[in-house]
Amino acid sequence: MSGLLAAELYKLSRRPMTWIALGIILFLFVAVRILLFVAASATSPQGTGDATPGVSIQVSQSDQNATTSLQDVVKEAVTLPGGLSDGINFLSGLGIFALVVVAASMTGNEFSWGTIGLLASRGTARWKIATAKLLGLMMITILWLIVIFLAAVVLSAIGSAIYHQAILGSWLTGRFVLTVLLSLGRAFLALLPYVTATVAIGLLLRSSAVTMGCVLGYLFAEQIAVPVISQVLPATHGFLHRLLTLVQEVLIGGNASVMRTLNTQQLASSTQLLASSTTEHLHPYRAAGILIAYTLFFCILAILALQKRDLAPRASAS
Amino acid sequence: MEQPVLCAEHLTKRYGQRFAVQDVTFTLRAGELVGLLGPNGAGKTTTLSMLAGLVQPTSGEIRLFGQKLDTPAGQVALRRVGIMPEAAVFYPYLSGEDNLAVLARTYNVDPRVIPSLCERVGLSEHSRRPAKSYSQGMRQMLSLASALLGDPDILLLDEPTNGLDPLGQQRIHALLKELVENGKTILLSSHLLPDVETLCDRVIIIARGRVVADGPLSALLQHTSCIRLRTTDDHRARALLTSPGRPAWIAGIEERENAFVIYADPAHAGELSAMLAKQDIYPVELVPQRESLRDIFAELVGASSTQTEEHVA
Repeated sequence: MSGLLAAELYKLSRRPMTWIALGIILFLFVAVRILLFVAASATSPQGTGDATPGVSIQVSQSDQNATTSLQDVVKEAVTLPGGLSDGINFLSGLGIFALVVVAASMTGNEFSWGTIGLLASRGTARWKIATAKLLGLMMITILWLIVIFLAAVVLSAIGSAIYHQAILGSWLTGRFVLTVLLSLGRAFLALLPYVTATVAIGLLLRSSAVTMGCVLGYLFAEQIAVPVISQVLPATHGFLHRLLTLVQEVLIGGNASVMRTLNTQQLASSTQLLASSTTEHLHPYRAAGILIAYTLFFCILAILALQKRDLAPRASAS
Repeated sequence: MEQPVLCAEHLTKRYGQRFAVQDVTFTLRAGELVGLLGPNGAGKTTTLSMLAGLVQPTSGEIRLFGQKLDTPAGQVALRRVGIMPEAAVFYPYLSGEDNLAVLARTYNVDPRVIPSLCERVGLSEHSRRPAKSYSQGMRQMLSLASALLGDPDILLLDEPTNGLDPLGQQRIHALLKELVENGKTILLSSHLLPDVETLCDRVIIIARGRVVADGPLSALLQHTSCIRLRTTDDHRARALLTSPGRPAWIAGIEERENAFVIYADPAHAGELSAMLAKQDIYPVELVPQRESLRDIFAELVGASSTQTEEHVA
């Protein structure tokens, strides 16, 4: 098993796509952060931290009367410690698309290149091949999470140096470090169902393009469905209400969103007010349980997808 | 007699209503180089895939070194079987050496053998280049090196000389001969009949998923060798050649197109001529005919097709 995992990590690490995709995510993250820097500077040209009365907005969650200055919100999003939540959540937000592409091509290409047959020859247990693939991609996910988190640390430290003239503060306690680690864990959990689903569908359908289409299609549908359901839900009654509530509760995206909201709430003070209210009624433990259940389901599906199927070698093109 | 290292018994593979392989039975013994012949779609690749554990037979049984393939012991025995697929299989973004390193890790083989393996198949000069930049011949060599990783005792090779230049073919021929001399067992599927004629001691011919011939190449060739004869007195010649006292080397006699077709080793042509001359019978036409593997192949595969069509009709 260790040999298979080593082989999987070797393939992933030697594959340009792994690093190109990470580079694109990093670029997007840095670009968004630069835009926020620009926004923070535009609202406070001197960088003094004073609120600019004309640009204050009203953001509401439970208390409709709560008002926060946009400047404070933006500033918190680019400085320590509030800037970390963005970094931790970025991969399970925008970055998930790149991760799905890498996972789908890593799985589907084994079939188009015919290499799956070579891996499975010599009596290699097929469940081990699927497990190694799942573990390899999980490790890459952790690596990407850490890289983007470190980028967030560096950029937020720069932001702190600019806006607060100090990088560290009283917030840096052992409890805060634990919160960061827990947040990374939650972000990882929010990503796991998508990664494992991609591997399972890739092994089932044997095509990277079809797998990408399925998972990205689901992601897009979910991005539309979650807000629509939350808007429609208060206006529904009876069976439809129960059905929509159930759908909202079992969608991967809704539960992943709970994890992200928790991260934002625990790492920032005022930005928590920006958090979506769509998932506030979901219990975090239930959300975590649902995400774990999805992950286990897709892991089992991935193993079964490879277990008994014929892996006839690819026909010669000549 | 030595125990077979590989035993395929009544192997059948069905996809829906279509039989890819039907009731295929054969054995391989240690140190044999056996040719697996058959037209396109005959079931050669499916047979090799079943032997390598990649495709599940619908029915039948495979034993490797005495172990049933579908048992844990059989799966362990599969570690001693290397397969070279028809189409070269590799990770295009990795170099040749890295491709082998991935497989070495997967098969738990010491990766230190990789340089010598590359040297053995003539790939050492190019082993650090990305495999996607390889020529067809280099890809085949990489595929062969993958099959040889871990020094397996049985090699299942599907068209190993496909797309190779004559030098590459020669290298593979030499390598296969060396492997067999070292006790390895090779099942070589090929379209290139001269390759099989040169390399193999035994051939298995498959047509429409069924084995239509299995035996030593020399025996197959002998059965189909003949002498075509016309004489000055065909009536007396017939009596002489069909008499109970005729030489034992005459396996049979037929009359075709105003001539006798005598089933015998063409080396006996001189002896036949002398025998006739003793009786004052002189050959008008005496043509030794030695059929090539190509002829036998065409005959057996054609006969199988006809039989199948008749059966269907």
